[in-house]
Amino acid sequence: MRGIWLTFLPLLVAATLALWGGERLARREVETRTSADRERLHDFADALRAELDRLDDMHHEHLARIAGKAPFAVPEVTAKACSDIAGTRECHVFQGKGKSYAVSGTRPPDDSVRLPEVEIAGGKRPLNARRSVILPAELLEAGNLGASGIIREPGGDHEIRWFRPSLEHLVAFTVDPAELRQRVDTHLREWLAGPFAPLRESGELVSLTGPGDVALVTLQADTDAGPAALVMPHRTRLGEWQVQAWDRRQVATTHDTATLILACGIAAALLLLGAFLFLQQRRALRLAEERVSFVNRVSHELGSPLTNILLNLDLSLRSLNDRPAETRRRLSLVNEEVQRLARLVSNVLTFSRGERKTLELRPAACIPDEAVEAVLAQFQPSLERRKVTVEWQRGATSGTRLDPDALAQITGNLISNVEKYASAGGWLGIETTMEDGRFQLRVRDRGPGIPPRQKERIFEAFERVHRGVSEGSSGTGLGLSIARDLARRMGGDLVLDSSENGAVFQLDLPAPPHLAVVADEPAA
Amino acid sequence: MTILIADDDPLTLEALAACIADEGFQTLSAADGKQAIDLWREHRPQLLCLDIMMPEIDGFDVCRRVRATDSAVPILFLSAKNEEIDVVVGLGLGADDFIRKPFTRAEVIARIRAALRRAHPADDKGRRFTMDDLTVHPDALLARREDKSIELTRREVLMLELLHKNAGLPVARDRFLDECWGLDYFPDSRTLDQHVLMLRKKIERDPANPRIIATVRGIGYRFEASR
Repeated sequence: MRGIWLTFLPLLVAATLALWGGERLARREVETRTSADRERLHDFADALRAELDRLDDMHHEHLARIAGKAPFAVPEVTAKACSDIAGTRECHVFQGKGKSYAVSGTRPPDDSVRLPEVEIAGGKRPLNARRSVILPAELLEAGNLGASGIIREPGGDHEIRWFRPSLEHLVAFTVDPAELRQRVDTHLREWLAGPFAPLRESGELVSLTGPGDVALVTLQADTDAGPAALVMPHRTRLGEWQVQAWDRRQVATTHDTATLILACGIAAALLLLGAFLFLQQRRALRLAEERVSFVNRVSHELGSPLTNILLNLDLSLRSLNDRPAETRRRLSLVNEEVQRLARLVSNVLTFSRGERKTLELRPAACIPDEAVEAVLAQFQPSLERRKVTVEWQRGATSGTRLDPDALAQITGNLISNVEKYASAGGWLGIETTMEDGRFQLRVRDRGPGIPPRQKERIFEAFERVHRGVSEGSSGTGLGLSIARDLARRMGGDLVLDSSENGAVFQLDLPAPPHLAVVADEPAA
Repeated sequence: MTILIADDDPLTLEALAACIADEGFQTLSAADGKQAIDLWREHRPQLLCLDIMMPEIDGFDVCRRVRATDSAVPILFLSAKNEEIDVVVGLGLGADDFIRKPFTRAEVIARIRAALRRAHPADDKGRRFTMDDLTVHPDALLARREDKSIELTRREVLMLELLHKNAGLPVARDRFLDECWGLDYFPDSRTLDQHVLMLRKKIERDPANPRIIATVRGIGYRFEASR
């Protein structure tokens, strides 16, 4: 049995893999994107720009105002004004190329922060390019009056915001942009509560990032959404802010029907192949077992008659001199057993020829009742010993043409069944008829009968109703199979008729009249 | 000594019973397992020969039931079932031997005697008697001279027992036939002579000049205990 499962299981696994793989191949993910509410987004971006511009302008104007007053004010006043503006660390006031003074503004968060020196090119002081931010001398040109600008500290974090408030003066503020942006971010977070609320409520996928990619607000639920559908940057002197918006993304899974059908087809084919192999292997196994069993049964069937022959021959020899009658009796028993063996061998040979398609019938002129009588005569001693009464209604005494050996073999197998399985009933009924060109033989008994569900199975080779050791009977399981096969080869049939008591077999054969044969007068 | 034979084949049953009876054993014949058990309970035979495939109760079951009450009686299976599993099952149930059909008379008798010898060993505890330099062990169907064992049939043992009981006296031919063959058996006188001839060949040192079974002309045979 294990071998069978070893055949079926791999194909079952292969079918499962084919189904799984097919499903994976057939799977299609369809992505749909729902556009964001662009108008609302633009409104928000516009509001943000306006606010950022306002902050930028306000900061710039504060510095410009201090720059305008610083050349003329006492340094303490300038320092006080600077300390009020976030991130303004120092203020340098230059008159021409010389520096008038420098004042400190807001304190850096950490004392270790080094502020760059701010010098003007062409000044009196020696320039240190490593530690200084050198303002170009061109800034003092007349054309730059009223101008302003930003110079970043090379390699540093600060930036220098310069102003030309008057023809002689240049004012430069050292600004820490990080602190300035932090202040702006703090303001924006408060400011966003209002303008951002509609976007949040509508569930837009939006993010707002400030300078240094610091996220101020993020409503991006799906991080795998891919690149933003809308990017709205805004650059000011305070830095660059960016509003990004994503379309809403939905993924629907569908299956390609053709691929799915193909996978199911492959899986079904594999399963069918597995089932086919499974059944074939089981059938082959059953046949092999039946053949082994058949060989055992044949050898079993040979055993009893051979024993009887051996024992009776031995006993015959012992009684040969002083008890000749006993010897004759023993030899007749030997003869009976030899006939039993001959029937067995005949059945095996017929079966073998049928299997090899070499079985041939030899129709000849005969009288059916004579053939039946000859067979019955063989069984008579055995039936008498078993106390089986035989009743025969003769009705086939006219000549016909059929294979007498085949008829004898069929009759012998039917009577042998009664002898083996139904002798307890104590009665064997035989009825022969010849009507309308057909010969019919009915063999009845009063034995245990055959269950209706086995009505057809008993005609299959190797099938036996009685199999257990306590059934007492043996047999090769070939008799009825051969009998029906012969009957059908002769153009007739052998069937089991329904009966309430025992079994009734009916043989029906075509039997055209053959006038050349004349029946003997039946015995009185 | 009685042997029960059970076989559903009437021919085998009759022939086997005849062969065994011919050896001097009493036989009981059963056509099925149920009858075998009934006969076993009633007669308590000294050995059982059982077929396996029998109606009503099969041979295995008969063996099982007998072994439930008697673990000593020899049981032999005689079966045409020749698959190894049948032998294993049979011996596993407590049978003493398994004889496959077809078998000959000589084989089955030898196996029966071997089983009886195993069941009744010819030791000092067993019943025995002496005739000249021959010691006879009736239950084991054996005779011993010095270290040599001589197998005897049941009938031969009966003949020797009869002579030993009547040591010094002639035993008539009819008495031999009555006591060793049975009253309902009618062998002619040549049968007895042939048996005596065979027996002398087995037990006499010189069968031509017998010392144990002497011929008494016109009467029969005699055992001279004093010789």
